[in-house]
Amino acid sequence: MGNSTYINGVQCARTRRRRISVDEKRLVIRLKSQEEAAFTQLMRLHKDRVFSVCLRMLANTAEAEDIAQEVFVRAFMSIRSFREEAQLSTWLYRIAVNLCKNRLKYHSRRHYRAHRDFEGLPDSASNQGVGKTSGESSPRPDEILEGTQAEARVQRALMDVDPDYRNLLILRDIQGLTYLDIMKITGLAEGTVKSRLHRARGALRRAYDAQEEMKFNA
Amino acid sequence: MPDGQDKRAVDLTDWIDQTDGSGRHPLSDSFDSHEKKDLEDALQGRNLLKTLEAVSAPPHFERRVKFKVRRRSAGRYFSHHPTVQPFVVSIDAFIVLAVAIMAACWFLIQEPPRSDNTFFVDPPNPEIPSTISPVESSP
Repeated sequence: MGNSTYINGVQCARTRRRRISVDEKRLVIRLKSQEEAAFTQLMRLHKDRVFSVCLRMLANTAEAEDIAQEVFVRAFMSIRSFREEAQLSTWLYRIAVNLCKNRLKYHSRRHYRAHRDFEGLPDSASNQGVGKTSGESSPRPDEILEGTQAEARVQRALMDVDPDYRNLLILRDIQGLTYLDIMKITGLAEGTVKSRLHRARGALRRAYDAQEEMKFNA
Repeated sequence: MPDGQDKRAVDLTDWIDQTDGSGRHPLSDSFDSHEKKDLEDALQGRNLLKTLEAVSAPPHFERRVKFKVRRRSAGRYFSHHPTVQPFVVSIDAFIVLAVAIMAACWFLIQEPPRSDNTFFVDPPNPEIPSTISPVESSP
């Protein structure tokens, strides 16, 4: 999974460092000169991933939009502080994760229970028929509804997991980032990331089972 | 160094990352029921997240970001106003050129200097009265 190579179960050290591509270096130079076209290109490359992280962390479309927009605004305004030690995407993810955590803390301090869009997530690829071959028909409405409800249950279970654990689940199992990138984003050691991820996966499963039990007992 | 439980968690995470869930962990025979449940939960938790569909940013996303950047930079970036064509010369050179043109115009509108000094007009010489009396002057 990801960009790691495993030899006898040990992650190969040669794949641990990902070099920044030449295209990205050029983009960074243009961004640092505050070129507007470069910023537009940055958004087109990364807006979906950043929005996805925010949505999965907050489970609220409006807040996720707000935070995701703020990520790019801050990136533009402070691009000169980007030190090119990691990829641009890693840097953006870091900003997104920190902003999401701050928003969640803000809500918890005020005991604010924001509206959760468990059912109202943006149209997913399956609903739009994206990715299906020309020979396949579009999903039926009941299939779409079932898919939406199943996804809502998973998202609800995800929100029951501790934010620090949820963060790792999103970065690794949804976004597919490497452990090296996750270490740079979270500032945690690799062993800590993996052990927390293991606990996070178990916690998600238990939260999902608890949701199913409540549904049946209701 | 992580303790024993953490080391087991790291090992299980590595194994789950490499597997699609169909195989058995090589050490699963030595696991107790709690550990087997733990592994099963982690595997299924990972698989649950694979069922989530990809989401896309809304279509107005870029426009709103540019609006926020424009507002925070007081219109410096992503402004709606058309770009002003830059001057061919710099502002300093333009100022020097303007002063030179003004000086040339000033000199051109001045009247040429005259040869005679018309600023100083000598007063007419007063008539000197005659000293010869009228009687003495007859032959």
